[in-house]
Amino acid sequence: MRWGFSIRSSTTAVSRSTASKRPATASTGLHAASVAGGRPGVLHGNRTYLLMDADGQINEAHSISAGLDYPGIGPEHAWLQRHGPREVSCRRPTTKRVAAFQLCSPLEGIIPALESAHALARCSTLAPTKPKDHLMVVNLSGRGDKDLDSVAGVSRRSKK
Amino acid sequence: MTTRIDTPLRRTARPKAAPRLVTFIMGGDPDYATSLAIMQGAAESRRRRDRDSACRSPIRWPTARRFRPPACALKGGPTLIKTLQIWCARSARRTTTTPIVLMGYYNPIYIYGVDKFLVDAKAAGVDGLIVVDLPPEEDDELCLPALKAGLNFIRLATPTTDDKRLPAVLNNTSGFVYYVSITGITGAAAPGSAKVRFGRSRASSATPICRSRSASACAPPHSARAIAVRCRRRRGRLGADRRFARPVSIGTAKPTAKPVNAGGRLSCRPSLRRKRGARRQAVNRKPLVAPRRLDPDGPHNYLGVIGCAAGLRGNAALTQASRSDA
Repeated sequence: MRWGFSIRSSTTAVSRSTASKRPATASTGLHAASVAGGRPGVLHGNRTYLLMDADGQINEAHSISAGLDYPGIGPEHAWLQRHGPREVSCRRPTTKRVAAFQLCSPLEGIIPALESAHALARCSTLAPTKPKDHLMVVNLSGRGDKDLDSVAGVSRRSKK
Repeated sequence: MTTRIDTPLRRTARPKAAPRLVTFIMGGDPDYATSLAIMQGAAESRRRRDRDSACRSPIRWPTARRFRPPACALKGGPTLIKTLQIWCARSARRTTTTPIVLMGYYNPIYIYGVDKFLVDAKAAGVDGLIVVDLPPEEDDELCLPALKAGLNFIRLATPTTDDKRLPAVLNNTSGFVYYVSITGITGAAAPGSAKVRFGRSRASSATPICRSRSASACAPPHSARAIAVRCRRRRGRLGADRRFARPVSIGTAKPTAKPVNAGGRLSCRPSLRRKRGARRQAVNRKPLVAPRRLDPDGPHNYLGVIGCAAGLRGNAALTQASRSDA
């Protein structure tokens, strides 16, 4: 499942962005960016990029979205990181993803899944840097009905 | 290849040999000094002549009572390097006849470097490896290099290992086969009737089998003697395969106010009920007959299966399951 990729003619493929339940930054270490923050390892019968410490013990991932709350990454992304177009894996605050979620819902009438909102958040920062005629495709991979409670909780906490 | 695992298990092939006891000790839990003392106490208890002395040893109790999510063992800072350099090396020096088997996941070994790990493990006195997430299809990764380096590679079989899969499991397995008694967490429940499905297509000719048991499933609780007697009785029922369940492995058991099946036997299999034509209750709650004294000349050797907590932390599914059980 791909969260967002530009068409082949573009220079950069937008990979998944990461988020966490708390502000995810390199300083807090609370993230799920296994490509940017991990290294190749073996877990659950899969050799891929994993979040781990120096001893090879797997670290816990942190993400507001359940589908990305995992210390590893799928084989397609791992392969692309090694061989394909350069992957960009970001560590952005949760608020950016929630903002993307809340922007897409009223504007497009589509409630994106929080996983897909990662790609939307990345697009919102990447698109202004591209030419006006640049084509960018975002794969809205799922619906966000399941994430309404999570987003509402984050919104309540941010208002306090 | 003859190792410290092969020698004691070869003795179990004798007709009246006592079962062997394998204990699971978490390396570095709560700290290396304590777990080393536990290991040493477990090995020394085999020389005692007192009845149930192993269970009364103060060193053994912390292991029997402790049941926490595996992640807690990592809070003390144990690492694979420390486990090899400190724990294994010292254990091997103190217990020259007790085999040491490292049990864990593959990733810490992968990060360590397979070749370097095998050299260091062999030098530290490790006799075997149980790496639970490397299937037979990945033998080139670690199994074959380990065998070449002189380490046993022990694999797990379960009630769901059918005759079609078993040859692959037994292929390249050495030391013993670790048979998981139940489809679940062995420390949490009493095993039902063991559905051993060792068909005639066994690839290995005489690999001993070690069966996992939980201490809560035995009566009286934590009695190594009762476990051995129960194992001997079940061996008699199962008949021809004398290699079944000679070594007995006891995992850490969750302490409960009322141990499951305390004072009782395991349920009788329907086939036996029909065969004998006798009415039996589903669970026989009569206490066991006083166990016979074990052969003093053939005490159970302890195979210290060391859980080096490799790869357990951050395994969200496993940690969540542990939390729900605790």
